[in-house]
Amino acid sequence: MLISSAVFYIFAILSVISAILTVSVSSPVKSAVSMIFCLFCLAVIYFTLGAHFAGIIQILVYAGAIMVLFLFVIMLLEKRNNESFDDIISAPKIISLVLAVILLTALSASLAASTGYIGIFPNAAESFGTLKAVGSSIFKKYIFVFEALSALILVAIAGVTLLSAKNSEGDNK
Amino acid sequence: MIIGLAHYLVLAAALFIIGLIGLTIRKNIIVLFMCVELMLNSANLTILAYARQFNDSDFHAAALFVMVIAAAEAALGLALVVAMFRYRGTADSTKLTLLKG
Amino acid sequence: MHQINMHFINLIPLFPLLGAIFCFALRDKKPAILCGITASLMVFLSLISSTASVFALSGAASPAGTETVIVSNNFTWISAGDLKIGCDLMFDRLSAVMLFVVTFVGFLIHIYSIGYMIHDKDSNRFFSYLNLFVFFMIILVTAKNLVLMFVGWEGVGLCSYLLISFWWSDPANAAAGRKAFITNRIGDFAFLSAMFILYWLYSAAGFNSGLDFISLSENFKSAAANIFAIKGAVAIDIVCILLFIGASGKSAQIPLYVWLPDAMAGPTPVSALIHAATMVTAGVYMCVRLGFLFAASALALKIIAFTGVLTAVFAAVIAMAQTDIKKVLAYSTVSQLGFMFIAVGCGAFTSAIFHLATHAFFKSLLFLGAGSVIHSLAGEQDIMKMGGLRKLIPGTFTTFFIGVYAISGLPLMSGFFSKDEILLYSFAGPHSNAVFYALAALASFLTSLYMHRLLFLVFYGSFRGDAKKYGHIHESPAIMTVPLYILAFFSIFSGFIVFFKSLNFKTLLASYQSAIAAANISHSAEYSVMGIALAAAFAGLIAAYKFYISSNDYLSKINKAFAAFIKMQENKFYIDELYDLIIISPLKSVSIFLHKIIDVKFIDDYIVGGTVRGFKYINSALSDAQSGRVQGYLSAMAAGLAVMTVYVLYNSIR
Repeated sequence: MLISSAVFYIFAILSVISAILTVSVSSPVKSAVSMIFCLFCLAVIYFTLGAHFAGIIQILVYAGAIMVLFLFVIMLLEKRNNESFDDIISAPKIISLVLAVILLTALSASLAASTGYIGIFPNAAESFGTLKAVGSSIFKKYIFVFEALSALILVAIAGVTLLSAKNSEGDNK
Repeated sequence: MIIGLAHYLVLAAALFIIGLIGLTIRKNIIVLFMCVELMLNSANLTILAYARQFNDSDFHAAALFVMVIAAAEAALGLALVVAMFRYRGTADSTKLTLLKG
Repeated sequence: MHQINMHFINLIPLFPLLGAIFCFALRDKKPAILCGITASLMVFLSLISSTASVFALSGAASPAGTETVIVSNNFTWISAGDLKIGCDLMFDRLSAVMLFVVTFVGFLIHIYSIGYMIHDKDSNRFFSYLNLFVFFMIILVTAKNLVLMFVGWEGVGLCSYLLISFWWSDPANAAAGRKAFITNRIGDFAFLSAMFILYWLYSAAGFNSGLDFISLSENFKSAAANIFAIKGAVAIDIVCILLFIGASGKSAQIPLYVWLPDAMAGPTPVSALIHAATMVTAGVYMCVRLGFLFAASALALKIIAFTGVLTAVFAAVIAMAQTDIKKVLAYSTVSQLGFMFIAVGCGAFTSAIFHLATHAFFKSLLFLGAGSVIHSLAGEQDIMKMGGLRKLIPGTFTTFFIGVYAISGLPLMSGFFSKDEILLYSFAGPHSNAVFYALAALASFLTSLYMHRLLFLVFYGSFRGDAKKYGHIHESPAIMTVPLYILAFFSIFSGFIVFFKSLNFKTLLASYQSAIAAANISHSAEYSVMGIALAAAFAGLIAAYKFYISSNDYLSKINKAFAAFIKMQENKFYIDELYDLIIISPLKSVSIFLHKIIDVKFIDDYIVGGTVRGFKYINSALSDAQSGRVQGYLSAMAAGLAVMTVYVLYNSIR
């Protein structure tokens, strides 16, 4: 119990810190790297939840593929010219901080005031989070959604290919 | 302290808010996209927490679907950013104001 | 009173109105003589109609003890609740006297104007205005109720303005016209207030009079008892004082006389008709018509007499130092009007009307004579540049001499009889006062003095003016001198009606004479007053002779000794400047303040402009919100989300 709580707390704090770093550092590369770290921490938290498969997929797909794609594009764009993209818009800064504090306080306070949710999880089923359970859920009940998602990925590939194709007239109007 | 649903929800809320704030603050489009991903991740965390609460593997599947969608959307979005960078020469969100007026 | 209904009397004002319309329609066309003849003919027809009405009135059978009045009840003009006011005309003895004066003198002046104004390019407009004036004056003297009389009152004020500023391309003339109108207006305000209060008092006493003269006078005794009981005796005083202020605006008493000397900027026939014979006497007519009201208020009568005597002396003093021939006559008019008001103030209403009638004759004679002098000198008006005209324009000289003789109150001409009556009543009447009498006698002396000064300076001595003009001096044409002769005849002989018992104003207008003033006066008082009056007149004559004809240096000695006082006299005691300082300049600065600060800056700039600027600001603020930057929209959404979240969670927690 103690260990799981400690793990949770440590990685929760780490993920929050890295999220804040993502949002606030000036260089986009550093931002991406801290984002990757945040996703790792989230994956660990998924593990503490008992959602093993989701955690693994998070590491493989999210942190491994999507963020790499982000890094490629950052480097693609940064290579093109040397503008500094890094100023933070000053006007909404303070308002945003205030809003953030308000929202967080509100949500937490509401959670703290409500009964019935703070407490331990009910006992998990043996098969919760295993690949078997998730697979049977996907391929039996939600097969249609699965197929639709495949089609979605196909469309995404096609779109990406179309959008990134170089025009014959050249670039940069 | 025993970790319960509330803790996960608070964490998700915090990540969501951080992502939202980052979305309003940053000028670089790619960082904006990363903030969106952060928000998606927080939603994912919420779904998984509730999945554990209700002990239902279907929610687990839903979390995976969210991940797939996030991947597709990230790919398309980045392709758009590249295209826009080609045609406008800038990836600064304050300069892309075609919606003005 | 016994009322007879005859719509015939509507013709009396109708003729001049038609003449006015006809002449105005022809205002820019030639020939000018057509308008002149038409206008004079219309006034003559009015005169004929009034004479016919007189015969009708005298031939009408009346029940014993009451007076007969011819009325013509025309359409109802105002009908508001209990108040019904019609355009009713009435013709009684007082109206008959006034109408005779107005139409006869008006007719003669129209004839004179044909000769005087015929070379002016605007003469058709002139005759139109002149006829319009006669129309309004007739309405004034024949109106059956106060409201219609006020219509005539305002109308003559309007025509006076139109005629004074007849040559309006010169801004000084326009300013004089404006001054006359505005000063009159101040009096009119008091008049209106008096009308309202009078109506209110009668209604409070239970009589719905409709401000009709006949019902006002008949019900006065019973109404007065109620009024005194309800509102106190001071109510009638207030009404009478306000009425007198209105009269002093029209009849040029202190403090509202300042328009009359400036009104000499108009053509001379205008000065003769309006500012000598008719319009300025409207105030006196009104006081006599409402005599029953004034007789009930001793305070008002005192104030009237006091103002009258003060005006008489003051204007006479100023007249002594004036050098413009028309200005001397203007101040003389003010002074004689003061005499009429002395008569009113002492309760002698019939004497006031008598003096009004004789004054109309000799003053218009004097003005027309002055016009003739000016015409023969081709526009010269300064008496210091005249002199020795006696042999050159004999006709004018003779009539002018008769006019001066009459106004001075020298024996056996009309002015003697009328002034004598006034002095008598101011000495020995029931409301009289020794101080009034002394000052009135002083004014009489001064009148004789300045009028003879005028006569001597203009017609005697040697010609002091431009030598080139001397050769061109000629007598005026017959069309101008015949009215002079006719007026001179009336100036001489109109005084003799005191010897005819039936025509003597005292018996003719006995119903208007307040009962108290009709008391008999001892013969010794009468003769002594007559003697002192004659003495004053002769003293003035001799003094003027000594100063201006016989060669000695009394005049230069007096000029040196009283130099400062004479300078003030010449400048009319700076009254106009005083008014300018006290009243006009503050009003102007208040007006400028209101315009610049409140109107332009505050309202236009601040309120209206401020609203515009506020809306523009909101506009720009709102349009800036659509910046096209997604992050801006997102911030707004986030803010909204925060608010909603807090609200929902707060509610659900509670």
